[in-house]
Amino acid sequence: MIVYLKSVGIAAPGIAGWEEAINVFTETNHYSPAPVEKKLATILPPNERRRATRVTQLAMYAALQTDTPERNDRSLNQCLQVFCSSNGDITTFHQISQALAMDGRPVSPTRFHNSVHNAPAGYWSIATQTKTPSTSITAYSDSFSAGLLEAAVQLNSSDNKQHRDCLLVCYDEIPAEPFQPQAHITAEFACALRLSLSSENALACMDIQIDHQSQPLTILSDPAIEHLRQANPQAAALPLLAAIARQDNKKILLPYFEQGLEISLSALAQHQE
Amino acid sequence: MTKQNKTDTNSAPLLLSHFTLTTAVGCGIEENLEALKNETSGLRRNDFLDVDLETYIGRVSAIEEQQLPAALSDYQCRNNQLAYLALQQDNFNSAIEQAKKRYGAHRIGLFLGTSTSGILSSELAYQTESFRSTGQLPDSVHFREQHNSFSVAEFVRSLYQLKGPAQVVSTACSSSAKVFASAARYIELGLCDAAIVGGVDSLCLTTLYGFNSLELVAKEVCRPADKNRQGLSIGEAAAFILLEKSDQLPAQSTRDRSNQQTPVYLQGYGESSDAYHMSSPHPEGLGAFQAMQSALQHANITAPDIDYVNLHGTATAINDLMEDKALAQLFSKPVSCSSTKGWTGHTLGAAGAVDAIYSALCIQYNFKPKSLNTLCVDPALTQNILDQTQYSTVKTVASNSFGFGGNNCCLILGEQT
Repeated sequence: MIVYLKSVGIAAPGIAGWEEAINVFTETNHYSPAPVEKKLATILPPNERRRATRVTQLAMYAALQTDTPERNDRSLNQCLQVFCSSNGDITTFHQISQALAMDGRPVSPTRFHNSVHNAPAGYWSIATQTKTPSTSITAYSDSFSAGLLEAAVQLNSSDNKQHRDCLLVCYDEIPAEPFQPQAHITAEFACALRLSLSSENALACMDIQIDHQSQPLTILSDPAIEHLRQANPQAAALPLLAAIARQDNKKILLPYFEQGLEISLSALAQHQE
Repeated sequence: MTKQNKTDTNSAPLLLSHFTLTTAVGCGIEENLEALKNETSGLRRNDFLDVDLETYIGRVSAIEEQQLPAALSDYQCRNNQLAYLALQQDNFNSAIEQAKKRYGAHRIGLFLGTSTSGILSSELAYQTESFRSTGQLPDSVHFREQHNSFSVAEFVRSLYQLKGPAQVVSTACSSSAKVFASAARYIELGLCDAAIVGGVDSLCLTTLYGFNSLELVAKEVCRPADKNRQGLSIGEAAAFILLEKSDQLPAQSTRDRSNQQTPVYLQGYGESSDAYHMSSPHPEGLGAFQAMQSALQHANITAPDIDYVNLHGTATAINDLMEDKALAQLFSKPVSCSSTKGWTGHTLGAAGAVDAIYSALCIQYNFKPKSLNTLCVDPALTQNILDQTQYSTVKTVASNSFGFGGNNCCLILGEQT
């Protein structure tokens, strides 16, 4: 199943954007994991900005980067939308549960609508006026691969006659404290991939399939980045993103249940400006 | 898989070869069908835990007694208990075992919808004295196996030792309608040969108090399309469907394995986003219209081919009015329609799959259920809200599901391939 990668957004400790990611992945010892900025660029109008939680802001910040000004891209709201998170918004769950443990159980209506798994997708579609189909999925620790597969499937399916592009947004927050012992996420991470059926101006071509040969998973040689890979389920994307940044032509194996997801990557550097 | 699969895609219509559901009106197809025909609601005055809200709920009895297999005891929570209870009905277990023999465990996909997962376990832990003093969750709370939204899929996957592609769709109240679309695409592209789809949502404090905070919960039973409607009744349910390619089944088995009933196919689906508001649908029903229109296009049929619409019909004024406007745009003559939420309550993340099975039953038993609990139809509504259950031929049904975040899905089910 072939899809082309048009642009990448990323928000991770020490990696604020694709330009920084290229530096981190192509230069040795370049990575220093400073926390993700508290205040993130956003397109949310003031009211929604106030209501949107951290995990929504994080997801939208990564998603927004796929709309690169150089391309003067006005078609972002024509993309199919696949949002993917292992855990969703545990901070909001924590706040609601605290309210539920109080007298009168005063649950805030805004917190309640923020608690749905598809809250970031909802905010995104409203802010960008995207009316295309939108899904929000999880496959726990295999969520990044499940999201990538879902996006590739949506683009390649015969029922998709209208859309050339799909925006994949993958994100997980650091969970609220009571859940930290069990949900082992120690770093914020979000990435967004603008995928397309068209090779025009693409960074890379990806042939994606479920691996049935149990090949070993791709890991990262830099210990600090490998540490980040293990710090968040969506950071499973890092071996793929690193290979794209280095313009490698290689096979990447990402975790996907018993099988693994195999991505045959070919760089399309000639299309870059 | 490679590009060639796109050309040898098999777009044979998918058969709902087996299905089962457990709702407030009963466990399994027979009890649900009887309740639909006898017009008996499953709603009861709220008696859920210590919830002090004056409302009615669609609670499933006997969830609490369900004991998951010992090897999967970490998954024990209300949502997975409800899933387990539902899976024991209608020989669904053996349908899965047969499908495994036919296709292999790695060729069966699993696509489930939930909005609540088993968060009740964590919510209740927050209420304990020990949590208040230590801030630590007790050992009985298993985040991955109970709380996380994927837990129900991981539970079902482990229960049947399935090895195929899997995901949970969690788009609030459209979750388990959208799983049909996901599964159909995975099958079309050859990533699996068959799929188990469904939805499981269970009562919890967040949804009861959350919808109450939005002033969307009725004090009495929900009355969809009624001029005096007050809002929704929250319910819980689990519904599972085995989807198979009709041309891959052994001869005759289509009918045999649907218990001698008319085979029902997934004819089409349509999805859209409102891009309007987080917790309110577009007042003119633009997203709902778009989802229904693309479902018709995908099914390659036109509006007059639809015999009955199973409405999202939550019994909130805003939903009922916008859904009616969307239908009025699509149908030149008023279409027969009703919401079945008066039986089950709004089962949120399970509603799409529950309504799909109810739609399949309407086709198999040729009836269109009345709008239960509706005393006086809102005169503002333009469509034919059924005040009596009609027994007449039903070949094609549209089933609507709309969720928070403006997430819409419409399924078309029919007896034609």
